Amino acid sequence: MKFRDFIAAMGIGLASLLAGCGNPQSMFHTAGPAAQRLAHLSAFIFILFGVVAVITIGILLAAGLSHRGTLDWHAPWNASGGHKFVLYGGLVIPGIILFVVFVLSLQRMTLFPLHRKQPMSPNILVIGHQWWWEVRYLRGPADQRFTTANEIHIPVGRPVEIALQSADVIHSFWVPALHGKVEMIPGLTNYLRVEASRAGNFKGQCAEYCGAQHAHMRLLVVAQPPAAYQAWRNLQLQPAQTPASPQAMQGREIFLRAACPLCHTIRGLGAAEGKAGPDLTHLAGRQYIGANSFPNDKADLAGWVTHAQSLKPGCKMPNLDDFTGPQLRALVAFLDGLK
Amino acid sequence: MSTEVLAAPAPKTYSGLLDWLTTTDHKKIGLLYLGFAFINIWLGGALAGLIRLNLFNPGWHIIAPNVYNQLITMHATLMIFMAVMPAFAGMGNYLIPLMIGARDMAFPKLNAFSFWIMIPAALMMYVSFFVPGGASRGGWWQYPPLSTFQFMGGHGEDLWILAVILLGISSVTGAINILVTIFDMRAPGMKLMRMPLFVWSWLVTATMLIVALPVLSGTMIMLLADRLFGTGFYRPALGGDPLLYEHLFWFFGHPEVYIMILPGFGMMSHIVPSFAGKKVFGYKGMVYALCAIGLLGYTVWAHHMFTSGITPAAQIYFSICSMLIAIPTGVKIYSWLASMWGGAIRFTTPMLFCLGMIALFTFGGLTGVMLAIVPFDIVVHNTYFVVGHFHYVLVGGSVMALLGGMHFWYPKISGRMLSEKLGHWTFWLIFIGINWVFLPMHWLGIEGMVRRIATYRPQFAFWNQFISLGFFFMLFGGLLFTWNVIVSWKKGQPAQADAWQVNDTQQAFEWMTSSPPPVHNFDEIPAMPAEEHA
Ligand code: HEC
Ligand SMILES: [Cu+2]
Ligand SMILES: [Cu+2]
Repeated sequence: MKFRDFIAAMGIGLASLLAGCGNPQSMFHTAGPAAQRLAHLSAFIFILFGVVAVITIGILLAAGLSHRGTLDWHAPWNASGGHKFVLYGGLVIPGIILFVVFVLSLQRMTLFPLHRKQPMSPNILVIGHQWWWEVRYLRGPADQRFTTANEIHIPVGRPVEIALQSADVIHSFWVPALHGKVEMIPGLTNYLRVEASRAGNFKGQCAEYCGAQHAHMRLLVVAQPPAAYQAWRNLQLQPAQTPASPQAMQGREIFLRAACPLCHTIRGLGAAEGKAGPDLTHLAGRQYIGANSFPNDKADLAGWVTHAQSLKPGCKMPNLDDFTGPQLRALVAFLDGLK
Repeated sequence: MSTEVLAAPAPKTYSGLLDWLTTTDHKKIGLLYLGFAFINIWLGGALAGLIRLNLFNPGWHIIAPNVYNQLITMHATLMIFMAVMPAFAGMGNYLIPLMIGARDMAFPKLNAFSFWIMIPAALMMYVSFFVPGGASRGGWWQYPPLSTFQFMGGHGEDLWILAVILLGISSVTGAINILVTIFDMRAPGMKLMRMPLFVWSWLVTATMLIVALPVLSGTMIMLLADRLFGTGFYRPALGGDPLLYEHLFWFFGHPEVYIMILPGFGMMSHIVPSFAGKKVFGYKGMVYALCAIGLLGYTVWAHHMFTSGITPAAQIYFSICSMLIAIPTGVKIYSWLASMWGGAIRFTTPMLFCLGMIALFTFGGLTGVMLAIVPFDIVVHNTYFVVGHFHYVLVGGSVMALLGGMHFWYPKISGRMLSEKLGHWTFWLIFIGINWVFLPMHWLGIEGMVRRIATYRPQFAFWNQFISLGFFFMLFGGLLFTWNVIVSWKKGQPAQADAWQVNDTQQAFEWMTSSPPPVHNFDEIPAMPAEEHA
């Protein structure tokens, strides 16, 4: 145990050295018990297999360089030897190594209650869409549930069960800092249990090829201390805020008169009940737009609304560019006020 | 064995182009296969160049995502179905009758059919780029529902499916032909357990093709029906099951990877001992290992689906079986090492390719075993780690073995030697290129870069640029090889019958006849020497 932990720590050290300052999506940049145990096992595997590779290639070099022949002269054709190689190198040693890693991996199998037939009471349902994530908070009575998109908040230190579905094609849910990946298959539900051991923003990415904008189907998990999480939750339960300025008020009218409500829901805004796009009720509270692909600021919002097809070609939001300058500014002021 | 009766009919006297179009000579058909593979490896390589160009910088967006997705799909398709498989089929066609002392394949006309049916398939693949909507962009797995008409309109996808079905027919008829040839046309005295190992590797490969390819065809026909005729095999809205497709596809897909490596193993088992001046070590072990790999290959398919939510019991089963394959594979690798041990190594170009293959394939094989470990796989699945892994086994394994084989048998085929100097340069360029390009991919995967993305987050930029530069090593290596093959065909040094003095230590039939062999292969069918012991 001790020795293995030592090796694992060494592996992780080496890895993060190579990674420079630690890339947030690295499998070794963990933020939860599940990912951490996976990273430890992985580090051990890297070292073990690294040693095997070095030894085998060493034997290759030894065999190759020890004795050189020419076109006219080569060794007698019965130069013997080698039985031990094949016995140990081909059978005994691989057998032992495979047995060890298999036992270690069995210990980790308990980490993922992945199977869909197990009874689950998920806290969150994530539904994959081409190319964004619908996020529904399920716990509690109806008035405690709400829907948001592309950004998942979880409390630190508490296990969270996530149900995974798809509305169209196969996607895969992956937040490397928290856990391995699980596919989202239309017609089926898969489950994943994650837990964050520290607060932070953890980046994720769809990991199953799902069409044109697979690259821009990104995700953010925000782990917060329980109090902050509760505050966020309470805010999400509220309907959208009434615009604060006359300009934003005008923006709301523009939003309602344009095509937006056909595809987007803004709770508390009567007609806006569309389901084809992300829920925008508390859009301004999110860090990114376009499934975590572009920063959520006024410039990018304006660019997104008018030119979604050049920012994210092929995505299911059309270019809506028949606004005048002031109209667009009003619309963006409204969206930016949806705290 | 009545080889005379089964021998090819007297060759008709066409010449020039017409001769190539109508030939039923296994050697010419073998060359046609090789030429076909040659063209497609260049086309597939060009697509790879475009992919690397687009990935050079995450902000360039030179290539629209929809086009990028066509590039990755068609790169894989061309390389797998139209380069590596036909290349091995070509080597098999050329060499198997020579190695077993036969005058031709069992069914020469079927042999021509197997080759020529690939031409319409190839044309459909090329044309699909120009139909509205472009070529297939489903990824070569073509997972539905993404590949159904609702999510992927246009007929590029339909052309892809039809072409793959045609290529499947080519492979299956070719495999039947090879099996019958092996079982029926061996020279007197050549028992199964005395057959050359390349022939053994094709025996196993051919049975795998016959079992696996029809499954692919059936799977694809159902997909086509879902697309065009309103059925719902894989469409959840109609009660279909996308997971069913994953199972069916990988039931073909995993054996496919062995189909693409076993003939390479077979070649290695000829070349390595030849240049160590020894007989191959552990012949029986090699044969058993081939058969074991062939059988186990069918029991592991769901290791491509560890993240799909299959039961833990299934995960454990598929994990064990996948790891078990490491054992026969290890036996092969260590048998090659033992074949070299104590020998006097001649560092000819074919031998260099084989040594490189052992190193690279060992590496790719080990990362493969790592991927069989479920908890590790769910982390790196569908990342560049996997891309690195399978390029090590496919380029570092299959293509290196193929290049070794082509350098080795080129004198037999053309009657002329390739330039050893250019050969050494080719080897080093490609060997360095493979490591330069595919090694950092493992690191990108560990860092969290998923595959099949047209652009990426900025933290992955450095290694992607590094990798893209490595493309030039592969390009120059390929150019040198092409140059060498073309120039030496007329200008190379004339080759003796036994160009590499193989038969100083072995009794290989193909090196007994002249280089190039006469139309009827042997003036006199060689006889198998008496067994030394047992
Ligand atoms: C045809 C349906 C449709 C219409 C009409 C539409 N949208 Fe969208 N919208 C989408 C979809 C789909 C997405 C998700 C795109 C993606 O990320 O792939 C989206 C995303 C967005 C986002 C980013 C949300 C996030 O969290 O990433 C904003 C903001 C937005 N739309 C605003 C608008 C506004 C304002 C209008 C009206 C001017 C509008 N949309 C009209 C479908 C639509
Ligand atoms: Cu995706
Ligand atoms: Cu496999």
